[in-house]
Amino acid sequence: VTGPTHHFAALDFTFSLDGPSALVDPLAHALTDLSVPGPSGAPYAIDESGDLTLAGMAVDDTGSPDLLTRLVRDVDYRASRLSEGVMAVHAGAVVAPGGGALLLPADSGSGKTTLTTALVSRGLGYLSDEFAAIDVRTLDLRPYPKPISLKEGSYALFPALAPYLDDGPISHVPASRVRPGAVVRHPCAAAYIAFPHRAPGERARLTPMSRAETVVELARHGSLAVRGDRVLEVLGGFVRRCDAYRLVFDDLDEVTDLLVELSAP
Amino acid sequence: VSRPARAPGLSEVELDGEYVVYDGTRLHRLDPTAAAVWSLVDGRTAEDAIVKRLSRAYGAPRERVAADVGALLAALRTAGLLAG
Repeated sequence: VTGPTHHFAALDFTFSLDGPSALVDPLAHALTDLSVPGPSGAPYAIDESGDLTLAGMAVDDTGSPDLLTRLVRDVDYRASRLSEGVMAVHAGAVVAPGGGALLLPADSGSGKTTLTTALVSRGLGYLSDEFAAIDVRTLDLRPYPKPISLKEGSYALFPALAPYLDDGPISHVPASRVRPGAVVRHPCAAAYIAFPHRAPGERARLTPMSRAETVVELARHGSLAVRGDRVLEVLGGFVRRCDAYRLVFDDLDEVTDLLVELSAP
Repeated sequence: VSRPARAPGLSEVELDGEYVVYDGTRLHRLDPTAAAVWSLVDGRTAEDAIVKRLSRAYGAPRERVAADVGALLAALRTAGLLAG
């Protein structure tokens, strides 16, 4: 049975999703925080056999374990390519009660998504995960409330999310399911940057970084080539407004307490 | 007379006494010591004059400053940040 067309926006990339309800509904549910009334631009479709296409062209990603992961990765790619004036940073982005954003840039496997999820569940607002979007004109972080992609190893840390977690190696959970009202819909100025690094047995601690050091480290996690000569203007302006730290941690509760305290008004 | 000059096509930003220099491919962070030398690298100021100015500014022995400046200029050249 084919259900209604769903419409979404990922930064400047708008898209629709059509297909059999049994296949489309779980995906639409995972993407619910990106929902818009429509109309939207790029038409994704899923056929009866579960093949994903965009405007009739196959969306191939043999590295993705499931249909939803394939869709999320394709949307990320297109949002990055099609959103004019955005510098993408591989980072989580949450918003403190005082309104300043905390950016968590890190490599995959560093615990960034787990940390982002924990901070959202503790009351911080959700801007994005994996893909933080710096507006190169205003230097604010734009909201991109994509589902939080939790890996299997983190499932046990969030028992309240059990109804939304799959059996597979990765689950995509809307931030609004982590905490109702968590999604922040407006751009925010960053106030803090913390580069998380998980180190077994270490106490959670923040070590201040110079702004020049921060620019270099931030660029390592950003789409440097895309911005060409403007990269220093953007990154320099962005870090001038922030306090930046290296963050070493092991225990999730301890590091969450530390960051909640750091970002408290 | 050596008059070190910046390589063409670089962009840079100064942040709290340090520099970040972008060569179109990589970012280079210059710490406060390297930044002090870099700020005098303009293609007109001779290496001797850079040493003299920094020696005076920091109240350090000229021989030691000359060695440090020489090493830093060599490092900047190796990194591709100097012309020639």
